[in-house]
Amino acid sequence: MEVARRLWDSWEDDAEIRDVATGRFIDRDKLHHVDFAGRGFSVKGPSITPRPPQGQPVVTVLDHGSSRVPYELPARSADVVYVTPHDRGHAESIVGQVRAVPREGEPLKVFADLVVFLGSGAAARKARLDELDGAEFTSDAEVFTGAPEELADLLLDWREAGIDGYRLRPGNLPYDLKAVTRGLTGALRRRGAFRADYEAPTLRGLLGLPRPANRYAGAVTA
Amino acid sequence: MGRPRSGPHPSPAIPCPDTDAEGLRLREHKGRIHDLDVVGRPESLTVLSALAAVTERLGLAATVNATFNEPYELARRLATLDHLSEGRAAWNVVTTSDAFTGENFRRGGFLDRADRYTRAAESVAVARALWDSWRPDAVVADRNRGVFVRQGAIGTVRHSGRHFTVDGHFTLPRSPQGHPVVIQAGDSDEGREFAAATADVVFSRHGTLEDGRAFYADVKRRLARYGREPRDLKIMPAATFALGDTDAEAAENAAEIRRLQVGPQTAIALLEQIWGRDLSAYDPEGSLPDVDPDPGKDVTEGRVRPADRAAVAARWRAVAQEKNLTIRELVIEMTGRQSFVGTPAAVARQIDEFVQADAADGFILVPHLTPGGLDEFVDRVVPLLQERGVFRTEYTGRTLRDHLGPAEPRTVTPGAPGAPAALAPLGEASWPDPSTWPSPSTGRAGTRRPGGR
Repeated sequence: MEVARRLWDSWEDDAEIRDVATGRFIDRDKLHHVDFAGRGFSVKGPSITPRPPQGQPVVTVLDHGSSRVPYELPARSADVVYVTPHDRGHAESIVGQVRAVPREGEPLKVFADLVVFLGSGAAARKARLDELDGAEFTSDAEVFTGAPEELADLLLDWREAGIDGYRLRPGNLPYDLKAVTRGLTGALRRRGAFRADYEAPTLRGLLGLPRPANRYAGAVTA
Repeated sequence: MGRPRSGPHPSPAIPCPDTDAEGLRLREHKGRIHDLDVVGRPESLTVLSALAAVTERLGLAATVNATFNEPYELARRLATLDHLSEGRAAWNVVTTSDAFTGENFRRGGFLDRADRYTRAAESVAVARALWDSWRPDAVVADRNRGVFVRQGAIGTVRHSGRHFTVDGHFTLPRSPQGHPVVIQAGDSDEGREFAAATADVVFSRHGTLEDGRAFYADVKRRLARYGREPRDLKIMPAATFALGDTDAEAAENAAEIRRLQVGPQTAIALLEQIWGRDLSAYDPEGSLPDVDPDPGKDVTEGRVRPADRAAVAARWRAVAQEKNLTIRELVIEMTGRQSFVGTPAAVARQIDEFVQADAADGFILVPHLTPGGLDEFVDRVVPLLQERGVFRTEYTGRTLRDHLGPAEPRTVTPGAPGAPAALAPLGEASWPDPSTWPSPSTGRAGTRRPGGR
């Protein structure tokens, strides 16, 4: 992730000049070798692709909190961490653990993962999977079965515990995805907890993440 | 005629080969990033996946390096494109033997010439084994029985070779074409052999009709050794063009395009590449430097170098004297002349002539501008080719294989007869040997290849 972020920064935003008079396509003072040398990789750079619209694409990591230092990787490198709480108390303790890891810059967004069987026929779809598995269907994430209104209440409850957002995994496509887009979003809007319109053109904007400054901007060129 | 594809940028100004056709490291000139060409290309498979959504019949050929990518990943990404495009994916297989480019990759180094060819061959063979590992009828998707794939219809791929070990299952159902079309541009003996064994299309370029016929006959002759028919491998050289209402106007248009491609700064940079020294004090509109090339020194990284710069320089000097050319005029003269220059009727006739004379099965057009550079050809030349009965007036199939007409994909696995591992494989990535840099005397032109530009 460090190498990728350096490469995304290796072109400054205004590096492409297309200057006909001097025949130059780029201002090479605004391109930078990343000169990364680590245990896994060694990369000279610069990137062969210009810096993208978001500066750096959003980086997300699923973390079950089972590593030696829980949530260290996402706290150090990601913009969003997916976590897998099984109830509100669990959510609170996970958020506490995440916030305890030192981090520079913007606070890490904590999103909870949930498997959802939603709306009409939800219980039957879940039962069908249980039957096919020959055992109760389980997942690393909590499995929710119920109505959109109930799920909306749960999401808001966990939000109180410090969860910033959610990644919902539809239990059975396309039914449970449709139940999310057609049922849950309405239930959340009625609670004032979901957008009625897109407020930003980029994913970073929608997630409330700022566009990262370029670490090389103004640096002496390689 | 092959359906051309175009990249997102205007064609780069200097018509010289990269050492790495996928361009996996920005070139450097005199120790600094070269700034006179269009650079900053997006990753081709991602772009083609987006194009798949907004086109219906175009072939989508991705230039992807077999030196720095894992075959499992490549097989998966290319099969994905084939699914997304409903059978229009192609892989232009290129390689790199260059420590400079290698500095962007974990290995940090590079493969020597012979090894990069064996790696490419093994890479293609592994990809084909993976593409073949799902039976065409593997996906049942029976909701009532709760069965998605047919029992026993997904084979295990076990490969243990010199460069790769793969043991497992492929993650995708067989794609519409079975195997995406494999494109290659080898020209050396090994490259031709590799093409004969495994490629569907070769686009090596041979300027004159005679050179083209010799290449065509040689490569087609090699096919029998691998149990293939002449029609199984299409020879479709890369071709550039300039049109005009009269021959004189076409020639002037061709010259104007070349002047735009080789600006004053570019002319000096190219000359420095051959001379191996700083020539920035020289006037591009003036005469050649008196100093001789520095034989030991390379000023440019990331480009194929002339094998013998002194010889190339001597040839250039001779042409400059004979024709009384300035530096810029000389560079224009010696690099990248268009393949077909003339009125639409003349160009249609020349193209047809190449095909009828067995010098080519078709061409891959490389427009000098993108987008828009093909419009004039499509409007003015294609109708004439259709009148001659040598260009389709409608599509007869849906997939790229249908358009090209090669046979069903062959399964080539390492160790099997005809397996690429038995060869010294893949020739020069995609360009003629740089020791025979483009020169009017041979009719060769080092124009940019079509993939990924």
